[in-house]
Amino acid sequence: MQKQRARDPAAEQDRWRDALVAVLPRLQRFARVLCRPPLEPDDLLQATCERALSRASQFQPGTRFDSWLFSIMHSIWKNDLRRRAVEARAADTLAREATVQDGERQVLGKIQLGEVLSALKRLPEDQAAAIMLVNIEGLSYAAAAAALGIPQGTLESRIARGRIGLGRLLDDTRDAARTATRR
Amino acid sequence: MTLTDELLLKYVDGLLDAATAHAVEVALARDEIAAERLRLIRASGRALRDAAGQSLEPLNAKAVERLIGAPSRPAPMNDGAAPSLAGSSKVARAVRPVAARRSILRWSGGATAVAAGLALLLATGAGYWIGRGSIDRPETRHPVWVVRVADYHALYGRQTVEPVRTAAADVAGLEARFGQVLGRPVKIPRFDAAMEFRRGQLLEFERDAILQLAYLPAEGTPMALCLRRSDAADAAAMFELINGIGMVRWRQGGLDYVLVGHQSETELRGFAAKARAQITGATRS
Repeated sequence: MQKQRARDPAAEQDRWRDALVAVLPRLQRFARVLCRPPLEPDDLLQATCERALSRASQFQPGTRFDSWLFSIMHSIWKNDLRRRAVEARAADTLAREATVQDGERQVLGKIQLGEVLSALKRLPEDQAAAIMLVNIEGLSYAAAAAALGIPQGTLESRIARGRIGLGRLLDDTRDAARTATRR
Repeated sequence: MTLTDELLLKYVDGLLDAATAHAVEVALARDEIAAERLRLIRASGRALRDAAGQSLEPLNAKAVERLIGAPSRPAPMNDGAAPSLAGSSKVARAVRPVAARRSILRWSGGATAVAAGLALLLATGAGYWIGRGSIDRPETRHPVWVVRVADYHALYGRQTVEPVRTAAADVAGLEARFGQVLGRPVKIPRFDAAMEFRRGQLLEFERDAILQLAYLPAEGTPMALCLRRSDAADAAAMFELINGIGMVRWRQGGLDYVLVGHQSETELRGFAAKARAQITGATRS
């Protein structure tokens, strides 16, 4: 093993890079559900990549790489971006906020989020994050709880409440679609 | 019984034992509000499964380069032009600096952070281990039920399976019963004494039956083969690691198969090949 590393470090770097590239679409999807105006998913994605690369040595061998990346993304969102967003909201004028929301709508339209992901964005962020990791990304309850830094019982509560809320939102969406079709 | 949201979720996910599940059903029959919450949990579960099954488009090369730089050794280009590499050190050559873009976090030094991270990566060999982990496989995400199988199996020790034994004469009866439940012919693969079939039991995931066949090796921890009905076409076997547990997955004759255990990749692939051959043989006969 040691010989292999010593022989071709560039291959090691490329393997690491390829691994990160493979998870990028899933990270992007997670970011799109986490970020509400004025946060931009692409900013969160970039920050996650930068932090992952700068802390590559902290990855624990034998653990899931995708869980580690989701954990980094959630940590940045929770500790840096969300706090800044709250501060920004307090400082900004209503007019500016309206502009940002227009921008968000454009992003949503451009990336064509599915019905389910759109509904997830309307759930409380903590519930949406829990559902995303377990039901969309396929993490175990234990892994998702670790990634979010919460006890497993809390995760289960968030998922349970979120699933009921999501069911209602999807009902509403379908009812609205039926009404529109009748007209 | 109080039908909490968490209890209903566990019921839907098939995580309750038979007695508790029955008690939930009895209580649901008398509680319309809880029954409605159950409907919503199920409905959202179906929608989430559909959403999770949708494939994701990879990011385009430009977006990837902006986020994490270019590969150290780019694939041959049709026009024969080699990309210019920034910097002169090995690390700097490994990943080109992230394109100029405002960094939203003050802690980040952009390209500097990337280079430092990769230097540490080389020093610790983390790249090697990542490559050996769950991510250099053809599929990077796993169906939820497969993850649950891995999690469940993680709790298995020798003492879980050692006390139970299934007589050879009973295997045919089990195959018939399990086949009825799954709606497909079921063949219980048999290996040599070094990996002995000990037990078959039915599990549930979101109301779908999962058949778990447990095997005990002469030494080491048990191995299990899990079967779930599928309407999709046959699929070749592939090896994956989920939370450090190896598994070989394939689809054959309307059943999804997951062979899971702490055995090596070579061993699991070997047992999977034997199992597939026996299943094929049983289907033809």
